[in-house]
Amino acid sequence: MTDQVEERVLSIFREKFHKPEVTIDSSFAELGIDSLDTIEALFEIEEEFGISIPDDAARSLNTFREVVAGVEKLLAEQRIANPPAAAGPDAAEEGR
Amino acid sequence: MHGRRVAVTGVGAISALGPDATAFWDSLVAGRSGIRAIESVDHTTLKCPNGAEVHGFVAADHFPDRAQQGLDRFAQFALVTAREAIADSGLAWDDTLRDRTAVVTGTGNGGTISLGDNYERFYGQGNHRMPPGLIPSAMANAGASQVSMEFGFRGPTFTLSTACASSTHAIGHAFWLVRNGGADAAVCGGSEALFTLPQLKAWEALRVMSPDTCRPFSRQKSGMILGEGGAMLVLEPLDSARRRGARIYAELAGFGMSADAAHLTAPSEDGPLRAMQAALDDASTTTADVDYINAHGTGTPGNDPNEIRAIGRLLGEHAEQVAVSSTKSMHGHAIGAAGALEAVATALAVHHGVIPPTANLDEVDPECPLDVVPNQSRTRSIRTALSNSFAFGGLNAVLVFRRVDPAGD
Repeated sequence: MTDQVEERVLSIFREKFHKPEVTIDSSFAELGIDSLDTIEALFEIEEEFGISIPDDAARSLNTFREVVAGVEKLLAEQRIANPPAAAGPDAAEEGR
Repeated sequence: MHGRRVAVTGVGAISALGPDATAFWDSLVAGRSGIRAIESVDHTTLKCPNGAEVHGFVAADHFPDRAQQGLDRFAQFALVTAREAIADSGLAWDDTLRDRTAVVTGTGNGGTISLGDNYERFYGQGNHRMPPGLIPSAMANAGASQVSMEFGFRGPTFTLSTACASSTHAIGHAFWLVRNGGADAAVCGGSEALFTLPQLKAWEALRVMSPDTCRPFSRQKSGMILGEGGAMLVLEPLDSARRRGARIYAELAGFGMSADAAHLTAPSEDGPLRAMQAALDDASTTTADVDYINAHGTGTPGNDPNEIRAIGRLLGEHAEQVAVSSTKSMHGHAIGAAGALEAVATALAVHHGVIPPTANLDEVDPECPLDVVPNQSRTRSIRTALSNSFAFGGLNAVLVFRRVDPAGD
């Protein structure tokens, strides 16, 4: 799961900014990615993963590792809030 | 000094603070904010559901003419505020003066509400008949043209669009026209009406919006709040204003512009600084005469500390003596109308000798270490005041207002 999220996040940045050299340890600053670039990339990440990144979290992001960790956190919260129908105990009950 | 001196003799304003310039000024002096939950658009899907809307504006109350009733809201705001400013000036126009009167307006978005409604019918509902009135009622110069036609003003008439600085650029160019003899009077300002769901969502996407209210220069600043409205000023040569015994709110003494040439949305320190300096130079004055600055002050982390640093560099040792407030904390950020609303606020501040406060300010941001006039207005004689507007796209415009001694100087 982690590797897959990481790869999808990094490829959005690589393609958007034509920077194949992006790695998980890169920071936005060292690649010349500014605040508006970041906001545009986060918009694409929201679309890709079907999540909503809060403004205050968005402002505090400086590295790709932080972005990947943030996306994973939001995906985990989403799974808790909306458990897959077949896996939830209630759904299983109703299914009988 | 270049050419004639120019007086502000009439003002009009419509905003979240009320239907006219009197209501606007009274709220500013009271430190009362017009920011609340958005009513004209369903705000339930918005992360930032608050705005500074004009409430209770019914077109039919202002426009018996059906064509004017069909105008976009932004153009209606331009027309009603021009009427107010013209009546307020007490200036009697004859045919000669009408030929020599300029109308210069600003708007960021023009008729975005009318366009949006009709595009929704076109794309969303498949109704491919467009009303013939759409183009002339939604064009960016709709307001300027309506003012020109209603009053028969036949001088230089045009509209400028520079996002958040639109109406400051408009007033500045009208001022230069009157000063340089290109016009003998001007009606100038701007208007904006952009409360549509797609506009609000697009502003949210920029992540510059506050989820609750606008707190410029505050440690708790959380972003900007959009506003709407309009404001207009009547300008005329100071000499003729004195001859006819007009009430003169202030002299419009200088205008300066610059571009950052750097980033689309992040401001530079140098661009605003050069615009403020250019405006002071244009007014043939220095920072030692400045008592008040009506700041751009959006309440965003991007603008506020940067603007305060630029002001600090401009004023140097004099900085501690100057009051700096952001009235956007009360009327919101009305984009193309913002500069005109703030020009009216600044002219009235000079006239009344009262500095409007920065509302919603509990704790001053350590990154904004100037006198930012928290919450309470202040009585203070103002010799010279600046009004700052810094737009997305890195476009900066600054006006300089000066107190006029009734006896002449």
